[in-house]
Amino acid sequence: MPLSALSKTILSSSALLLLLAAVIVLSIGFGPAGFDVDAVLGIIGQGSQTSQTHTIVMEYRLPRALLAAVAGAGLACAGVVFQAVLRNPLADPYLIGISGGGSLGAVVCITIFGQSRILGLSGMAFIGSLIAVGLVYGLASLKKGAGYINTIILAGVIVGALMNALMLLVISLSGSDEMQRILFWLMGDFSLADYRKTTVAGVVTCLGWMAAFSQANRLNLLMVGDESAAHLGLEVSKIRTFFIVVASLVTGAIVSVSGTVGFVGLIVPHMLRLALGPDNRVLLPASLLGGAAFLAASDCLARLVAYPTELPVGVITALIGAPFFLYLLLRR
Amino acid sequence: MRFHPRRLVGLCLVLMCAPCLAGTDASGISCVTDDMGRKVCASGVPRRVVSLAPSLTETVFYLGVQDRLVGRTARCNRPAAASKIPQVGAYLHPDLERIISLNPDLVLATKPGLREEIVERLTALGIPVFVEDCKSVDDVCFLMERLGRLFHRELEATSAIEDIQRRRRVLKERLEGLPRPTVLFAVGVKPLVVAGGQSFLGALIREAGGVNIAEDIAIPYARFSFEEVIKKDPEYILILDKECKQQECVDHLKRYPTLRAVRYEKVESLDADLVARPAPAVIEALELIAKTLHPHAQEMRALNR
Amino acid sequence: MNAARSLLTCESASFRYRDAPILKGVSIAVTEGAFLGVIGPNGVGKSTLIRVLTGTLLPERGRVLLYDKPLTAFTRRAIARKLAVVSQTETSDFGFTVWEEVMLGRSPHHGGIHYENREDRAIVEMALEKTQVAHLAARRLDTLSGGEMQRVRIARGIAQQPAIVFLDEPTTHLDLYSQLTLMELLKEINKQGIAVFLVSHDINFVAQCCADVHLMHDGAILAHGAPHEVITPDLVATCFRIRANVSVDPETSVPRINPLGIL
Repeated sequence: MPLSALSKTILSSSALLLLLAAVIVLSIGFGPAGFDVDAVLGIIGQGSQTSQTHTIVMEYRLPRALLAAVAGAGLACAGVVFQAVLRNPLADPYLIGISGGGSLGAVVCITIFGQSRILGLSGMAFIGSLIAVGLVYGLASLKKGAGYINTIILAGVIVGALMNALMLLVISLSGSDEMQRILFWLMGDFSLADYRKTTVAGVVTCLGWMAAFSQANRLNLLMVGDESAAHLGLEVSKIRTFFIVVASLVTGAIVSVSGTVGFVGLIVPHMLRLALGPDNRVLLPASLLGGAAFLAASDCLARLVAYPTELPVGVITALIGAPFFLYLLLRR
Repeated sequence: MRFHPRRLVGLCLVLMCAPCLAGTDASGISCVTDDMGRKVCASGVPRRVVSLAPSLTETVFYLGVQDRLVGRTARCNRPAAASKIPQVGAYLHPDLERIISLNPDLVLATKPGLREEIVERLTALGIPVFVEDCKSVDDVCFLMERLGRLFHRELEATSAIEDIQRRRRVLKERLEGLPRPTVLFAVGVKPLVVAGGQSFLGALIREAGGVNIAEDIAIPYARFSFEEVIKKDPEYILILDKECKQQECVDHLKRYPTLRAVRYEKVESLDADLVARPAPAVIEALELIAKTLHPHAQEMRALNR
Repeated sequence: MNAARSLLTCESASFRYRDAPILKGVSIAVTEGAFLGVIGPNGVGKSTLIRVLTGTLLPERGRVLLYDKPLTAFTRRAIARKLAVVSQTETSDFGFTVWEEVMLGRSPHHGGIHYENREDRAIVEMALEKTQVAHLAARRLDTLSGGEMQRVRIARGIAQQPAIVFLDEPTTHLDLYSQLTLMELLKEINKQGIAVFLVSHDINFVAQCCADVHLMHDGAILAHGAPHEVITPDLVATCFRIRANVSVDPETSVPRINPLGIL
């Protein structure tokens, strides 16, 4: 008799929780000169370290690690949901135009508005994501009937392309020399992490995760096909809308605070599914923790590999992502 | 990089003689080598010049040949009279068609950020393009000298160079013996991008009597870790004002109260139009930075102009 | 024999897809413990009929009653607790195991998040045993044969503990052995009290297991009754546009058609 879903959930989540804790501790303690135990102990008021180290840890490494963890958690969870809803294990949270909209919002903010007092970069990016998702929904609803999933994906591709085109338009018209800043945003950047951003993103991610997990059985049903799911008691379009909205909000929130970090929402759920099976009751908690550990670790690498210069975290995830895809290809 | 004053003057004199060496022939063709190693020639004084960088526009005005200037970029804002000259597009993205339509016989461009294709296209059409890539104040002098030759304004160029060199000497004397504070020059704060040792701004810091904490960074303008900033704890933090609305960047830095530059309010925002341009006004930029880094030293400016 | 209680009644249901009418006033009733078959040529609307009967499609005229209440008054979950559908489903490459797939059949009895309890496990084990796929419990779905997959789907349907199981063209892709095994299974399920509603173009198969056969023609029920009453050369010719001999087994009264040619 194979392991029950409950046992799998508890075991995998516990293991990943430990992993996440280890990654956070390592992220906090690892500096260019190696691991500094005092730095970690300093957080709980023990150990002896200089006030400089304390500042580095509390004002730089810790908020960064936490934000990376939250972002990884959110993107991985959204990835699980999108892969189930779109019935495609290679789906990705950015597939339906969220990243395109977020990028457009951010670019508009950077080039045209400078730093708006009211909304700020994150606010405009989030609004951009919402507009993109709204457009996707609008487009998809124009063509009712069967093949809804393909319609959504197609609409997402269209809207994403449109947003990218507009973004390039804005960049070129503004004659902006903010290219570096835009590029860093597009590649994902946690260096500007602060506790406020982390808290907001964390709350949204937690609420989104709880909403999704509370319907995890229904998410499983979505994977067997629209008609079968309906015959098994699911209000298919309602629940699908629910999941897409939840996952989009979480993704939009993450994108708005950290830029578009690629591959996390694709690799983490996929890897965990290969290891733990497709049951979302197991995958949702596992992805939350696994995604957090993955991105926190990637960000730590991004911070240290080329010290004192920094790599954008998107470069690290892409360098991990490409071989991963190669592996998938060879495996088939 | 320490230069003897005499050596500097000698170098300039030699450079002034360079036209003889390069061969200005009777028909008035003057040739110079630009910073990309290409030979750029102009017969007579160029009549229709397009400038693709604000610093070069400033230099043209300084040399007094602004009436030959037929095109400039949108960012060329100094001096004020430059706004009367037609634009050929954005600073790093000029419109090739507009440049060509102005029928120039010389195009001045700056290497950082320039698209090679533009240079190639213009050259292929027979339009000479002079590309500058100044990395220090010496480079600016050399640039002025060559442009002076190209425009047959050697006198103006020489006098500008002499003025710059003189003021540099004075500056150097004033800085003699003064402690050199550690400096971070941020060209962007969100995210943090700094001037490394190989950059133009890095050279200015060195000459203004500061020690750049990012001196060892090979990339001219690189992302930088805040952790390193906290560790090195520079006495001064200079910010280019164009990159962020001043107060915001300063506020962002206030998150790190252990930084002494923050605590003692030694975070300064500098006018990018002045400081970041390799133009004759570079000497004022130099003096400004020096004054910022050594506020209690005596007057940095030369007493007689 | 007492008049069996009608579980599901369809009264003059009509349905059109785009502008083409598919069902034109179909009336049919499924009683408790019935073993009912609907036969007709491809495209006559048999699958549509199942969808209308289970509420996934709304008829534009007529209505469907479940336990004498309109189907529209039930939530999808409530319907799924009573009606199970086994059809050629879409497959996705997610890698569920047989056990997990059959466990999905318990969904209508639980809410949005639920980890299976002892009762669920017992029901699923029973369903797996009945359909004789218990030895495949840990296998992934994409490693199964057509016949095995069919039985897994039926097991899932059984796990729903429905009153009626609908099967849509269950004999497609099944070899003779699998077809006969299926027949045994359906009879077994029916004996346990679950009504079976079978839709097929395989006349002989339906004739052999169904007690009550409905012949569908041109969007409505042309005739219904015992197999030998409905499966006659004339009716077969009208419906299927073929010439056929019908031989009736003297002991069991089960008719068997031998197709001779087209009309």
